[in-house]
Amino acid sequence: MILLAAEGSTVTNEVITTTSGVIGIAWLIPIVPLLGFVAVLLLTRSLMDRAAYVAIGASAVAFLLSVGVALQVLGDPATYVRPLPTWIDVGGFTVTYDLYIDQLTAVMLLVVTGVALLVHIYSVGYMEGDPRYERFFAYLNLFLASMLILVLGANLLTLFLGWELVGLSSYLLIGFWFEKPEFASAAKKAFITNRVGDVSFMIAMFLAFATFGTLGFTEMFAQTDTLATTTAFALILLLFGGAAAKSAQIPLYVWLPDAMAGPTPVSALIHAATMVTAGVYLAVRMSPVLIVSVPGMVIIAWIGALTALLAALIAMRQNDIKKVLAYSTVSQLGYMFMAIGVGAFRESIFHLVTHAFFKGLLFLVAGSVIHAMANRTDIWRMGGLRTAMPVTFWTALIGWLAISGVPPFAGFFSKDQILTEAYLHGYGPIWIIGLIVAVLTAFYMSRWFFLIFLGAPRFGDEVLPHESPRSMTVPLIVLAVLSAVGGLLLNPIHDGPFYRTLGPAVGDITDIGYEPFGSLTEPVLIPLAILAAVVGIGVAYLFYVRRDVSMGELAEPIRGPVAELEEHAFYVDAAYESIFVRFGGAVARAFAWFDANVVDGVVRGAGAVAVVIGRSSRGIQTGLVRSYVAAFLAGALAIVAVVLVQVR
Amino acid sequence: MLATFLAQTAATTPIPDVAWSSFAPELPPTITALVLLLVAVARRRQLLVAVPTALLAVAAGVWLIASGETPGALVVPGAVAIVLGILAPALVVATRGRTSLLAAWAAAASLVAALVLTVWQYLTVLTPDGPTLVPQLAMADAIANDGIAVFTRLVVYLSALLVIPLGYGYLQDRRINRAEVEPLLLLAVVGMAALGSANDLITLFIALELLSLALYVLAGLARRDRRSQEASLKYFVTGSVASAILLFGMALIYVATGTVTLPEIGAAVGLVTTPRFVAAIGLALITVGIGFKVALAPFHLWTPDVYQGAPTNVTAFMAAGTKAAGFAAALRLYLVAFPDLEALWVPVLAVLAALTMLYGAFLAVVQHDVKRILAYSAISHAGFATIGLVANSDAGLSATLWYLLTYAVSTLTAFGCVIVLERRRRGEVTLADLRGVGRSAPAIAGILAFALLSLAGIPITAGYVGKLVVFEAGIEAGFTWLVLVGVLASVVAAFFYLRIAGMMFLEDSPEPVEGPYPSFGLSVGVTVSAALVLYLGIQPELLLRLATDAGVLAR
Repeated sequence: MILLAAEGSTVTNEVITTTSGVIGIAWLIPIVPLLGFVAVLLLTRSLMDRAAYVAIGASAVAFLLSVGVALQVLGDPATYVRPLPTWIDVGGFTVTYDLYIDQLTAVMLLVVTGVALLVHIYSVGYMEGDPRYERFFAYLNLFLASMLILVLGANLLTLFLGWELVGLSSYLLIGFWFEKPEFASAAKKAFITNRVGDVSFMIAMFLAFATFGTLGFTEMFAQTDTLATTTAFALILLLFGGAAAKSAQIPLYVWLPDAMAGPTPVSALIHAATMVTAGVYLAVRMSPVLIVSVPGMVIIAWIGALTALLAALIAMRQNDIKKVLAYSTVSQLGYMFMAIGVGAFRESIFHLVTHAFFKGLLFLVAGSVIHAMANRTDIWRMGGLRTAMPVTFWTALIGWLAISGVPPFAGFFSKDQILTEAYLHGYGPIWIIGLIVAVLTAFYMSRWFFLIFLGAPRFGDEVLPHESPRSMTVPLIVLAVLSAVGGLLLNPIHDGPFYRTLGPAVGDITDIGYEPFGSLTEPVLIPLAILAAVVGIGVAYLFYVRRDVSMGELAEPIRGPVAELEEHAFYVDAAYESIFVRFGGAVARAFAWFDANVVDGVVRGAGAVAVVIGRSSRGIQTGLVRSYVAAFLAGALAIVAVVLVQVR
Repeated sequence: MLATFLAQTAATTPIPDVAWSSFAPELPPTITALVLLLVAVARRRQLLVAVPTALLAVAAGVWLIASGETPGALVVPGAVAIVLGILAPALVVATRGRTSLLAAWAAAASLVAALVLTVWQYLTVLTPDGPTLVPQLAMADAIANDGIAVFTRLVVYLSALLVIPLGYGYLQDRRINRAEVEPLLLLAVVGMAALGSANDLITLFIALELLSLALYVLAGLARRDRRSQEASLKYFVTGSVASAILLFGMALIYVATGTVTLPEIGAAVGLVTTPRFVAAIGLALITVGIGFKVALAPFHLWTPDVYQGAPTNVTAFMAAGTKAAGFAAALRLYLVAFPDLEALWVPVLAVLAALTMLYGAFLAVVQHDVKRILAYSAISHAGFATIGLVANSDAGLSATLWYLLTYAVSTLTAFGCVIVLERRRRGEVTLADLRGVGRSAPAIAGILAFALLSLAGIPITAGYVGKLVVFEAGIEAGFTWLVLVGVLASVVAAFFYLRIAGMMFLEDSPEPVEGPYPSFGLSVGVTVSAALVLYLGIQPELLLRLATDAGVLAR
């Protein structure tokens, strides 16, 4: 073991290079699911339905190894670097496959592998009878491996490797049912939006390398105290640009609601619990850099808060069982970024964890309901499922209370602590937006819950809802238990065990000098957060339970232009469509036009040389050669001219 | 007795001072090309050619082994000669008179031999002690054996070696498996390798013409196909104009400096006595000629038509090999002969690079033919490779060489898959034809998608490491704006690569898809090149180090 003093680093962990213990074999964590992917893909024919067991086995191994790694890290807290072979080494630019394992990594590993294992098991029931059943499990394993590479990488480039691979596997999984055209287009939209973010990420990496001379986390963090504020500002915004695409923040959130086209277990795993939190992970991982430029953080906080508000408003008027959850995810991710922006890194990760529990749960509930309703997704044509699906109902109840922020369920603690921190760090307006979003969240989730499970059935006789098979209900129950007690066990009070563990791994904010916004203290702030949840649930109760909703959508209480806007998601998608698709098409057409017209135009004006050559080849060819040669000569003349002007 | 005779000859006949090892790797392909032509002439009496060849080759091999100044110094080339010699009649017997099969195997064997000799040359001649490469000049400074030369040899020989199995079945299907295919291919390769080591303007020009002439004919191989003829003729006409301009530029450089050797030009250009004006025009015209060969905008217009019309295996070879060789020559020209004029050519090439990247990427978006899309992609990639040239540094040099290797393997994989899809279709593969391929042929569709990801520059593929290294060199040289343009172009490019992949996996064909028919050669070629794409993406260490070492130039 080599001990390195992390001198000047704002991360208080000490850095230990080690190959001992479970960390020594931690590289198996991404490799085992990867092998599972390859095995299932190669042996599809001979494995048949047993493919699921291979995939589940691989993710179970990854989970057990993650537990081992977590125990080792938590037993002796430090930042462990597991050296592995070099990936790229060229002219002072060295990138290795090293693993970076600290408390934050341990938390992410447990969440990712844990939820993934449950989703794998759930999929056995959900995907039963699908013609490409084996393929689905292969892709799930590929996704898991990619996400684990992302979490374990010891430098930005390895992280980016995982980042791209999760994008790719998510693309495969969103488009899994490609028979329907809108699914394929959703997959494309996701991929392209993410590419936009990738550009930002790539430029951020260039800037980081130019600034630090390395992309390794330990080396970068050791230099943060000499980092110029302006550089840090640019770096933060560029990194956030990448994070905003992956984690669906303004202005790049548009792909996530469409991504719901994929199978529901995928939505639960990728678009709620794990992949979309990659941006949050990136931001928290880079928190030692973030704290160098507080203005950069403020921008992140505002974008997070506005995303949370916008998505919550849209979610109020969605009628698709998964779309509501999708916009809710965008909104909750907004909370996480808001937390990062106000300097509450640990709170953000805490919310990431509880959100993985309850949003994973709610998506799996949605899957169970869709399964029971013969693939119907309109919540206005459900209702009264409480009796037909008792397990789904009770677990959904827990998920609903958790996301609404009702104590003592998990979401209450994490959300309340973010709001408290925003207030105590002096961001009053953001705190108020957060409270409003809390009310809206409680409202739209209650609407979702009431319309699906309570009241009288609004579906016809042709649907006979039934409880889902055991493989689906068991994951529901596990996640429900976690959503119920997870918050209380992990971090019931501010500065609880979770924060104390995570503290040394994230940027230290004590030097920033935050001042509280007002004189309120936690005993007042906490009841305010509870009040927000109660108001949201109460209003929804009056609207959707006490009023008669049997007329379906016509019973919607809120009307008018605002409702219209919400229903159409503020026309953001349409605007993007017209701006970018048309713009890109226009550029391509301009080039094509240039090819067809200008090049020929040059021919006409190119003078004697062109004519001579043109004549010589006219008889032989379609005439295009003539224009090629002429354009060629025009280019040659231009270059000669440019060079001569420079010589003068 | 024979041994004593040989020992005596070896002692009395000194090896002429041509440092023949400097072109040793080129010998097997050249000789094989000639022998194959003879075999084609000999028709049924192939053994009449093969046996004397074998005897001569074996004798030469034995003589080489026995004659080294230090015993055993030339064991490898000797062994190569002997093995090739023995192979000649053995192949004739084994292929039982099927000339095209014989030609394919013989060409492949000679390329393997060339690769072996390249490695031998690198290990024993160029790096005699330790890892540092010692550049060598030979043939009155006409040939430089340095990093560029070695790396270019590796890339072009490897590309040609992969193209042979890819093209074999395809040529048979289209009934264009003529006897001249392999010899021409080998001559083109030799031209490319020579271009990579040409150290004076004359050698450079001859090498360029050698490869161009061979490719003009290869592009028109499908004589009954109008598009193939058109491609050949267009390539020839525009290529001749480019050659003329290039030659004129070289003449002007000679006028200005009084020498044709690149290092001497480099020394002379900086002198006060050299007419700067003439040298500048010469430089500009050379830039135009080189720009044509590597297809930089606005000298790229021939590329889409030629790439689309030429037989697909020839297209693949042009994309992979010509680019590598052309850029090798460009690197040596600009870095050795014109370092003092960098204020002139660096900005010009930077603008051309930006234009090329964007132009290729945007125009590919509106295409429907897969080969044409790949042609525009080739244009775009030439722009990326130019970034390393513009960087005008050792890092940039290595980056460009490395980028071209990654591009070569990726594009060969992609074109190989296109060949598989094209078989029995006898014509173009449009985007619409790709619908449902993901289901009817998942393996081919998967490999094609993987190759496209590499071309788009997505991690774990070779293409990603390629782009990364080039961008890094660009940033280091202060061309941040150019790298930003590159990143933008790669985003646009990702769109159309994705469209191809999307067509295969996410859409269904209206009518039942006839399965593609991979032949044995195609399967091997595509698998090997795809494996290379993955290997260079995950463990680029070995070859990247070689590319980095290539920064040692014979100046």
